[in-house]
Amino acid sequence: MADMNEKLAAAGKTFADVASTKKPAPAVQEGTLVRETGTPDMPVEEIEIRELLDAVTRIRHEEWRLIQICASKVAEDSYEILYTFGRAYDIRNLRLCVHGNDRISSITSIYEVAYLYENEIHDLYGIEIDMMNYDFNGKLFRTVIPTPFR
Amino acid sequence: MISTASCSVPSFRHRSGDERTVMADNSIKKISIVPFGPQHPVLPEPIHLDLVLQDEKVIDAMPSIGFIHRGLEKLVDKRDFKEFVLIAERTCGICSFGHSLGYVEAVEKIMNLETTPRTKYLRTMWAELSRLHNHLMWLGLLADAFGFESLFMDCWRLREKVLDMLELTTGGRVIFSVNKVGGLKKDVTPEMLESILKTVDELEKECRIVTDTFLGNGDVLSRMVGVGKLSPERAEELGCCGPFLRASGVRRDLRLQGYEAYGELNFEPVTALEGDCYARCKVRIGELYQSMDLIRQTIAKMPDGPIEVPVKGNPDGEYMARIEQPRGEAIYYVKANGSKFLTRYRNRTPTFANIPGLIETIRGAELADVAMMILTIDPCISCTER
Repeated sequence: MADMNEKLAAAGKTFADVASTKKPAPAVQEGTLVRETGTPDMPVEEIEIRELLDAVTRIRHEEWRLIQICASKVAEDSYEILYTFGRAYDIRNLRLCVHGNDRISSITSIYEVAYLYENEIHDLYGIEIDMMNYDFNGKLFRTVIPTPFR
Repeated sequence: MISTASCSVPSFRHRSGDERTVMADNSIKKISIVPFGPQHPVLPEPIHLDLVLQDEKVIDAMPSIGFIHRGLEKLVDKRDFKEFVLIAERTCGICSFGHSLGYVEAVEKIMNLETTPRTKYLRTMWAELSRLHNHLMWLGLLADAFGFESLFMDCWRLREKVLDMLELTTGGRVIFSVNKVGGLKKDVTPEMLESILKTVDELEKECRIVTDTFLGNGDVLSRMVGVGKLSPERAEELGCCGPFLRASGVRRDLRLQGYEAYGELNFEPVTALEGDCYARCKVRIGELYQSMDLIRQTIAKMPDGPIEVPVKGNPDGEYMARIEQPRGEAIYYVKANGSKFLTRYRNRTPTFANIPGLIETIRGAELADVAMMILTIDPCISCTER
C-alpha cells in the first residue's frame, strides 16, 4: 500500500482520485442479470464469473433443476461455459466466459449433481473449478491426451 | 473422495485380520470397499463403482466412468454440418436414430428449416421402433440378470422382429443413416407400412406372454419390489430423466412438447408411483405397448408428399434440441458461426443425467441388489462417454 501511495504521489494523485475513477461493477439485483442474449428459442443470460454463485442460488430458489453444463472453445485460451436449467418443460441458460487461467467456483454446493459436468469440463478443457464436492482430479475421463478439447 | 463418515468412528483389527468399526449404536461392523465393474456379467458396457460396504450394506458408492471416451463431439472440427449427422448417429448402437434426430432437429432449427409432414411422421415412426428395440433388449438383459436364459432369448427373438422392420424400411439394423439436415434420405412404400402394421400386431400378442412373466413371476417380484426406491422429490432434485424418473411418479415426457409428429398423436406418459426397480420395469413394459400404439397412429395418419426440403447456406446461431430417447431426455446443443463446420456440438445423454440418481438408490441397499439397480436405469455407457 505504501508503494502504491508513493507511486500515486509521484503522479500527483491521491488514492481517492483513482478509486473514484474506477468503473463500478454492475450490481446484480434480484431477478435481473447483466444482459440477455440468444434467441427466443434459446434464451441465454450472460453473467460474470463472480456472479455465478448468486445467480445459480437464485435459480435454485426458483425451483429450477440442473439439466447440463458444457464448455465451448470460443478463441485461443478463451471458453464459454453454459449452464442449463429446467423447470417442467421450460429451460433457461446462464453463460459465462473464462479466459486464460481463470478459475470458477463449483456449483455443487447448490446443485449436488453438478460434479459430473464440472469434472467433465475440467478433464476435457482444463478449466480449473474450485470446491467440487467430488473431485476426480482429472481422472473422470481416461484420455490419452490431457485436456483434448482445449 | 469417498464420504466415509461412518469410518471415522473407532475401529480395530479383528482376529480374522479384517478391519472392524464400532458404530454409534455400539454394534461392530466391517467396513470394506468393493470394486464393482468395469467388467461385470450384468454390465454390457464398462462402468466402475467403488462400493463402500458396512457388512453387506452399501453405505456409499463412487462412480467412475471414462473407459471408452471417444471424443466424438470434437469431430465437428473435421466433418461439416451435413456429414456430422453420421457421426452423431454413431454415438451409440441402440439410440442411434435418436441421436441423429436430435442433431438434425437442432441444425434445422438454427437454419429455420421446416421439414415436410411426411418427414416428421416417418421420423416419429422410426423413433418409436427404436424405443421398441431398446426396451425389448433391456427386458432381455433383465431376464439374463435373473438367470432366466429362455426368457432372455425370447425377448431378443422379439427384438429381432423390430430389427427386421428397421432393416426393411431403412436398410440398416443398428445404424439407419436415414436422417439428414432438411429431411430424409429414404422413403418407405405403402407395402412396407402394411408389413410393419402386421408385424406390430403379431409382436403385441407375443409380447403379452413375455411381459406377463416379468410382471407376475414371484422370483422377479422378490428381486425388484421395494428395491432401489427413489422418491419423486429426490428424482427431480438429482436431475433424473426418462423411465427412471417416471417410475418415481414424475409425469415428464419430452414427447409431450410435440416435436416432429408427436404433437398430432394421442398418448399419455407411462408413470408409476412406487419408485422401485419393479416400477421401472413396469414403466418400460407400458412404454412397449405405447410405442406400438404410436407406430399404428403414425402409419394411420402418414401423409403423402416429399421427404426433404432444400438446404441453402450454412447454419449460424445456436440451439438446444431436447428429445425423449428410449432412456430419457437427451440434449443436443449445436453452435454454429456461419461456416460449414460447427463450433460446438454437445450431447447430454440420459444415462449421464441418471448416474447421480443411481448412486442415491444404491446407498443403503444390499450388495446383492446393486446389479439389479444398475440395470434398471438402463445404462448406456457408449452414449454417456461419447
